[in-house]
Amino acid sequence: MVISELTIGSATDIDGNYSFTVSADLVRGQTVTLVARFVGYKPAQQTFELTAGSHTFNFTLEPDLLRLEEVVVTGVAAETPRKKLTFTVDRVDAEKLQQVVAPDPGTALQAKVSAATIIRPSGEPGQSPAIRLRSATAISGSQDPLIIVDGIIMEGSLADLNADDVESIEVIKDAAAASIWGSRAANGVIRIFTKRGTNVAAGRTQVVIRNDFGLSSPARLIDLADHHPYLVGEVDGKLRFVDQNGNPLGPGASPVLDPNGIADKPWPCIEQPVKQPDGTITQELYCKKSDPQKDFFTTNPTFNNYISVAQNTQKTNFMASFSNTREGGILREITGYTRQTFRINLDHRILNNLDFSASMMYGQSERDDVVEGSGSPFYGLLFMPPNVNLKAPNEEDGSKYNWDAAWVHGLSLELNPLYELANRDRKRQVVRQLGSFKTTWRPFNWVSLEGQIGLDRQQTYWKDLFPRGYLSDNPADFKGRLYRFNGDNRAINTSLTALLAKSFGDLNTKLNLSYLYEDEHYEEFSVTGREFAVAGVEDLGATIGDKTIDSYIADTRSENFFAILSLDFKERYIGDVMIRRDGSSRFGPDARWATYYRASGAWRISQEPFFNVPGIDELKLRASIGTAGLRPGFSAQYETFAIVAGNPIKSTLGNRLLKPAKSTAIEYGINVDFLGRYSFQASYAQNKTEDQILLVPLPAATGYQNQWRNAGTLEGNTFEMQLSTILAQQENFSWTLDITFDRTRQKITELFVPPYRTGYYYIAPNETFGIIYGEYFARSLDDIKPMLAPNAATPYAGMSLDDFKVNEDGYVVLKNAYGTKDEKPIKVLDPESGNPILRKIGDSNPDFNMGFAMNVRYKRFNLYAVAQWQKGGDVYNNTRQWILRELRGGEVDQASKPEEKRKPVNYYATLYNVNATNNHFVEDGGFFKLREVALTYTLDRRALAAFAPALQQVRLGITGRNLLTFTPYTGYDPESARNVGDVTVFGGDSYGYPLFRSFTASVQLVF
Amino acid sequence: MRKQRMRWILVSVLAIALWGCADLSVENLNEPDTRRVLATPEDVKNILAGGFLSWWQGNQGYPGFGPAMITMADQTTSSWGNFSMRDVSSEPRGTLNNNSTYTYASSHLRPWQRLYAALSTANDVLRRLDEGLVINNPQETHMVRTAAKLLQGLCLSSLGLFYDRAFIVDENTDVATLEFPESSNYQDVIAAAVASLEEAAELARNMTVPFPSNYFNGLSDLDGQKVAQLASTIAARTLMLGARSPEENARTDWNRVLSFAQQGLSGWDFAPEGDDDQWWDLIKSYLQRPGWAQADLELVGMDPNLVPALREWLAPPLAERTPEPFVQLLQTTSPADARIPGLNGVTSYLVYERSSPFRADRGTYHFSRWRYIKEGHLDFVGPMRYATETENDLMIAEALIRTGGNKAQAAALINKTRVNKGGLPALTGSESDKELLEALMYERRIEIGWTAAGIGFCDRRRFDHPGPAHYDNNPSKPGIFQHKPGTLRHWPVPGAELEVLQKAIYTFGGAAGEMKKAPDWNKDQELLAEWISFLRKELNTFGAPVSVREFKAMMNAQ
Repeated sequence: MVISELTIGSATDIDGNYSFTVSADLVRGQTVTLVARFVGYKPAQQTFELTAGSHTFNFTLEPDLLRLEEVVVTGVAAETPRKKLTFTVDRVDAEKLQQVVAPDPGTALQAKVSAATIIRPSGEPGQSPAIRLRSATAISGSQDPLIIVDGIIMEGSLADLNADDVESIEVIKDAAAASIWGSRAANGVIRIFTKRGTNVAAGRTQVVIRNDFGLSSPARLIDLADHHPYLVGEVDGKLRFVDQNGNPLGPGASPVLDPNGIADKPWPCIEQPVKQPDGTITQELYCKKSDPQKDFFTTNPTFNNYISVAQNTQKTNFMASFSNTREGGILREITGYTRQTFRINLDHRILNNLDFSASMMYGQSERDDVVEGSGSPFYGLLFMPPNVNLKAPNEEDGSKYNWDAAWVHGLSLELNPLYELANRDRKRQVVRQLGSFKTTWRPFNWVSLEGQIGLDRQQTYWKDLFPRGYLSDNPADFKGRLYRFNGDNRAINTSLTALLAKSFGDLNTKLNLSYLYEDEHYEEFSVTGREFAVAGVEDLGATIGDKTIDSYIADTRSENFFAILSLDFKERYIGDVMIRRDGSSRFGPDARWATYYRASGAWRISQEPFFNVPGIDELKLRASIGTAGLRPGFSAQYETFAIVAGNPIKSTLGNRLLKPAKSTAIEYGINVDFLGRYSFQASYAQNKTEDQILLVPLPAATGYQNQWRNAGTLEGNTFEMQLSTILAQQENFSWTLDITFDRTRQKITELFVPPYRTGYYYIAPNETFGIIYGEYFARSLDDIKPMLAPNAATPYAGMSLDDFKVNEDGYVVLKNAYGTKDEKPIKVLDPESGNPILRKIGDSNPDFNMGFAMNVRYKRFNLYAVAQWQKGGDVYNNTRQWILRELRGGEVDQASKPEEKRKPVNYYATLYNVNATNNHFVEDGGFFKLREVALTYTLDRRALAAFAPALQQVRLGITGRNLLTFTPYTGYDPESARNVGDVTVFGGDSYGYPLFRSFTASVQLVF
Repeated sequence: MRKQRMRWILVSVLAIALWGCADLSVENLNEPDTRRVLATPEDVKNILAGGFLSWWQGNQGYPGFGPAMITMADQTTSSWGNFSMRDVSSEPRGTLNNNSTYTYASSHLRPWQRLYAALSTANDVLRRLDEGLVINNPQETHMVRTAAKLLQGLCLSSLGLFYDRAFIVDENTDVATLEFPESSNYQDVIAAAVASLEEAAELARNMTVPFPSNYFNGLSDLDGQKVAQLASTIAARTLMLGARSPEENARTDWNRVLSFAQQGLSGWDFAPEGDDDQWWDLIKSYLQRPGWAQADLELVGMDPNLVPALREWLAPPLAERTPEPFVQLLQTTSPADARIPGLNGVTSYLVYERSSPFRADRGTYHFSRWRYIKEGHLDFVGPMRYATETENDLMIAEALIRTGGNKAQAAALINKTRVNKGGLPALTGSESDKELLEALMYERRIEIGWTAAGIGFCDRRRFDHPGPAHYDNNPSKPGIFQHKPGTLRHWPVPGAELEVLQKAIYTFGGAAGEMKKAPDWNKDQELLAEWISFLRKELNTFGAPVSVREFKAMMNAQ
């Protein structure tokens, strides 16, 4: 309850009663408005004359299932109801966030906000997601939006925040809205608000206790070959590798390829070394078969304990919380991620016109880390043949998991991944402190001054230990090695804001003037020690080999000013203009200041007297244009010599003129609320980011390799829609459905750098941003035509198209080789040089995305479900490609194919293409995914009164994450398949930690 | 009213207090700029350490051309795609993909960049010295000049030996006005390299202060005499290996080679220390590593007793070659050379293994049972031999033979390893030149093939005698001491550099042999032209060296 003119008010108690006192000096008999608000209800208001004495007003609030009356604060001059916004601000509130508690606030937004690409490139517990809002702004560099938590600019990871503490999240997606954050805001802004004591009934203390317990398990395994192409035969009743004459191969000898080259032979017994009690090592025949993935992945427990205490008195309120979380993940021998967070949010009214708020968080976490990518355990795993015993102990020292189990007969070059999981000790610890201190002073009732200081500090510690005696093919490992890293990032931002609000007749104006100073300091330090003098220690002082020491320091200082004026005439014509000036040490010394602006307007047609369309409750047209920037990296502007092993080496030529990239966005939108149960919003946004910050190569003779320059333009457009519907709303039953849709296109329009490849991708002017680029196996006879010219430098020169055909896999093959051991796909070659032609082979951009969030309440039951549909979006599946080196991919297995359709292993070795990128491994990464499902049963105060009067609420729930995925993609998961390069733009799968499925049961008690 | 006024005053004071006075200039405390790198004479001396490291990594580092060249030379065989080994050393040989988009484009791009980065450092230092900078005292100044000249010669040497053309840049060149050589100019580059190395050797003879140990990691005993020997050995190597064909080999100034080699390494090997960090050697650490590479059967098959197996191995078509003839022959015969182990044996040079780590589907002709191990360094530490007394001896021997000099002396030099290490029959000098040269090449292949990157590669393109067998046992084809048809004779200027320079991309190798113009990926020529002209302008303003006056002013400020 608040008197809006005086910003004086109070919360109600649990039964809805309220009372508060206005100090005498403010009472002048003026007309004031008393507003009643409650989350999830439409606000109501009454005006009255403020005179001395007691006044009583009663309100009845209507539920607001469509959230039409919400107020947002992001990107605007002052708190603004959504109805009056001139650009898109998405808001996700506690009700949606708390249904299924996400591992972090970023993940919680998945499928709930349109045009927000939120990718978890790794399923590893404790990893935070990558986020891109609308189209990409940076060709090279991050698309990460600016994240602000309770006014604190976040520099560290979102994963350290406890999603339980989050009250609401507001998202603005590009420069058309985010200009007020200037040179940091081209990627949009996400603001997170944590819970405060204001949400508790006046005079009460509320205690919430929640316990979750769950299990995580792999959602899907990769199809591997159950057969191989090598000669096998029965020897003494056991299947063995044999030579052409049927004699068993000696240990170590390479298996002999069956001349027919078909992988349809079952895996034989093999001899594996076993250490006997007397210490001798014997070779014993091992005849079991297993799926290595089942040895590697497992089901691990997950739990979360949360307690919060909140109190609200008239003058002071607070919320304190503690959480203790463990996410176990799905790997054997790895404990996963544990985190403890403490939070205190405090608000106090010192005087009637002077408020003070503080928010504080302390978090610590530890991740039992595992390396990802090629060479990691996820890589080795898929190379393991199924006939070796991965769980046998090492004959060398009795330690867990035979490290070289797959070396028998040279079946694989790779090492047993379980050995690394069990014996290498890799840990990442983070200590995180967030704090903000805010004072608001209203010297006059049309002026409000606010000063805020926010701190974000993240200390990161790494340890990577190979104990002495570590078994490996690298002799240096055996002596042991220890890496330790400390990083400390401290960011302080100080802001002062003046808000002036004044009405002139029907014209309401608000002017916001602001100053912001940012100061960020980063330091890191690392040491690698080699060769432990004794076993069983992890002290750097105990290493006697060479040590490598490194450190790094970076300071960034920025100073920014902005003014924003918003105008609202008769609540129909709404507009604002904004200007901002940014100075930053990240800009080159001759380009130290940049200017940004925004102008926006909206017309609420439905407020016009002439408007009289039955069923249309609200109709608004809006447009906004704005600019924002992207700051260069710390060292980009400097001329640098790399200090390599203590020696200066020429590296980058400096650029005194380096500017922030400049993004200009235009958004057009329409909002329609109709029939009292539908709310629709559509926006079309164009975004152009010039002055891309790119590392440009220089001629080698200059001695410098490259220079950071403003060297390109990236353009994009996004069409997005959001529809909220109430399908049913009754006393005992309600049903709502929110649907989001978005479609984004993006293109590089200028590039002052020679076109280049980066990973599996290609960056070129006038080319879509996000294409996969590589060699091409011909799929139509037209593809090979130029290769047949008589003078072509190809093996097919002079041949006729009649010599070729397209086989059942869709590849062009030689007709006379079809169906024989010589059948091979044909790669498109340049007729001049005979080199493979490289071309676009895929596009990582999805055709469109849709999100569905449904909530069904029936009596005390509530069912909530979130699903996401991504149509299209190619992924380069290097995981599938690389394992073809050892013929392990499922497609090599011919046993289940009819005789005439079987392909020889050379066919697949050709497609493997020595791991060079080609079209065979481009897969459709589209999916339909049931992300979150929660079924809860809630007993409220009335139901509990009889047997547990102290309890306000008991809620029991079962939730599931990543339950079902429908996809043509053949890897673990099409989402965590995006783990190479900028994952929000490109799809590339190379041995990441797969996303997994989890089920959780929870009990929540509110006192 | 008074209260109101107080509030106004307070608001005003706050507004003024916040008005910015922030300093937005931040110094980069991690990577220095030229001003700090060259702030004091001591710094000028120190920057050469970075230059030598760049040079080392250009030749022996990763990404680099060492593995491609050692597999093209059939010293080593590997069918793995890494380092472009499979693409350039598969048989029949193909055309090098010189596009910037090629997966292994960095294999010959990074050496090019690193060699020029090092060369630029050497030239910066020489320019400062020419402007009159004194580094502590005349003796130390002389040492630094010697080192800079040596570095200049070393970089030009690698550029001349391995690329078909290169910019010749020295301390007197203005890089902003350099013109791209429109045709192969390796002979000019080699001449420039030899001139610099000769000058370095000359300077070194008067050098009284040894090189600091950070120049060549861990070497603290490089005094004037040793540096002169090193410069002379590299000069001899450069002159000798610069030839691209037997015809050019015949035109080599062998008297000059002899003269340099006679002043070359004597009694020591030049071998910087590996530090498991920046100073390491790609061909030693990976091309001797289990699972990564095997000694080529053309190397092991040189052994007089194994030649029949080599010939039998070369007889069938490529697809049918397996190491079986060697395995069979070893049942009854031992290698004649003590350095080459027989069945399941091991020596300090090679180890016999029970299987080959490669995939049958990539060609069993890569299968070999031996792995070379002589140079060690699998753990990235220890001495990394780059130039050895043996190499120098064999250069003297070859120059003696080819100039009609003292062949008995040549034979004695060959015998130093042939007899002492290999236990093979001693040569007397009365043998034919062909016999002597083939025995000499045998020693070069087994003794120094894993030292400096590209030695075996350069030997094969120039050598005029076939060795004990011909490819496919066909006398009309080159011998096993010569390159297979279609092998690159040198690297083209890397495609990425050609793009930056706005030049057409060309390449080498494959069935048609010499230069080919590969497809050009520059889709927007106009845009690129704009960029290049922009870049040229910038280089004149930002890349220009600081004048002595400016330089001295900065020193005073220190």
